[in-house]
Amino acid sequence: MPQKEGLQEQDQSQLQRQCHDGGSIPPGFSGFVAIYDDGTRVLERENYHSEKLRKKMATNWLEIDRARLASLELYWRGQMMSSIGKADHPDISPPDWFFSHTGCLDVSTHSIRVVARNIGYKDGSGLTNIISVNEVDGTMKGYARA
Amino acid sequence: MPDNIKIYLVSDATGFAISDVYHGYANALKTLKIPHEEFPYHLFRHVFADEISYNVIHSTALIKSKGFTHAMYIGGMKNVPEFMLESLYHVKRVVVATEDPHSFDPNKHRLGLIDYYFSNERSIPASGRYKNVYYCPTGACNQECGITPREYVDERYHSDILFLGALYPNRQRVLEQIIPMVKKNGLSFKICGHVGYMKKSSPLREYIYDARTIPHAETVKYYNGARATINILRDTHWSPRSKSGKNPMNRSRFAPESLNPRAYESPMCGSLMFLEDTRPESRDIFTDDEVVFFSDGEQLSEKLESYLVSKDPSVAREMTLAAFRKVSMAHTYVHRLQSIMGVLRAGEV
Repeated sequence: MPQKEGLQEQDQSQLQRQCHDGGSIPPGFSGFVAIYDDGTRVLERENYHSEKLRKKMATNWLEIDRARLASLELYWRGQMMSSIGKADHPDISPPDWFFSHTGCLDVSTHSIRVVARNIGYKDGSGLTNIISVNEVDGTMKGYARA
Repeated sequence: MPDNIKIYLVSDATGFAISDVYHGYANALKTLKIPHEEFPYHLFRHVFADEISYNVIHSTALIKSKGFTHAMYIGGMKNVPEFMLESLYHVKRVVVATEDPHSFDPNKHRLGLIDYYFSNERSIPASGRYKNVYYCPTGACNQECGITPREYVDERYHSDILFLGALYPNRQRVLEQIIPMVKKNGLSFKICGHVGYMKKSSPLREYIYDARTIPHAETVKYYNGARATINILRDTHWSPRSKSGKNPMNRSRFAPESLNPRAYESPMCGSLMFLEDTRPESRDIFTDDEVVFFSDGEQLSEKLESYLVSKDPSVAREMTLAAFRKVSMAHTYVHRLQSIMGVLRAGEV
């Protein structure tokens, strides 16, 4: 469907611009924003064309530099739902950051559907603390898992 | 770290006021993938008499092929018979108390029979009088509690101000003082819970919305639908069971320092909590950026008016989210169980 792809390309270029100039969050944005030590903001993106790898990726997570991460902010429909930052948890090391989607296979469209978006970190006791926001209704859950 | 611990999780037969804690630990055992088995919870109250249930538990715990190493009792231990503690042989007894300091007196003479006693009251282990007593506060269950947007919660659970809990005299005294403010601003104020201790002439009667001991599944909905929840801590000196009104279950006179489960559940459900700061742990755990503290009825009334009527709703939202983050990342039963397992594993070495 060329029209839909065209729209996605447009959205991507808009997001790309905003993630580099540190601008505001686009209205209706759902996903997380990675904020680096120097203030650079990188928005989570889906159906992303990686110029570095020269291929289409499901997300841009591979291009998020965990070593420079200072905080993660989770948005649902343009509204900030939660954030995790080094200011509150100074012991977070680069591999401790966590972000993921909870998804399922939608059999009607044969595509993966995002059910919830999650951010979190691993604490000193080995538990991964996760905050999850439901994609449909914005319900928030806080989880800890081993 | 692989270990040979297998836990037999048992609820005591006190009543369903502790069911949230029991289910919290059951979910936490599953989350942390700790080998365990649960005694069917409903058998206590709906199928067997308590004595029969305990006989079944005793027999099952001793089946060698099941490999139980610890029997973990969740609750106040008021009804657990002596033989459960005396003759479990190789199975260690772990008690996770939920009602201390109210329920500590009936247990303290049995501490010699208990291997690990986890008290929800900080002042008991801090007293240094008992060597096998550890501090393990209550928490919130991350499976049951969460922020559900108000529009998705049934309208009968909506309120501006919610008090949920047993109406002890000290709580009534505080709540009576907010009535003029509620009337002046036309706020929706709901009282839910056990109202048996309330006088018929009490002015709070007109605000009683649900006069039951509310099941935990509904408690969560009430918190989800409330803009603000009032948490007044229980008076440990008063008891409805004695003629004098003095509490016979805390003769050791432990000063209460710790919080109730509501202090963790309410923020986890996204309701702005108004927390009494008369116990030290209130300010040890929460800050002014997360909850609203009050010391008496007058302050509560002023602050309710300020946050619900005068201030911008975004202030309350920011505080609610901060409290949610704090509880979900440090005060769930998964975190509590992780601490308990640390003690049990250290004891195995």
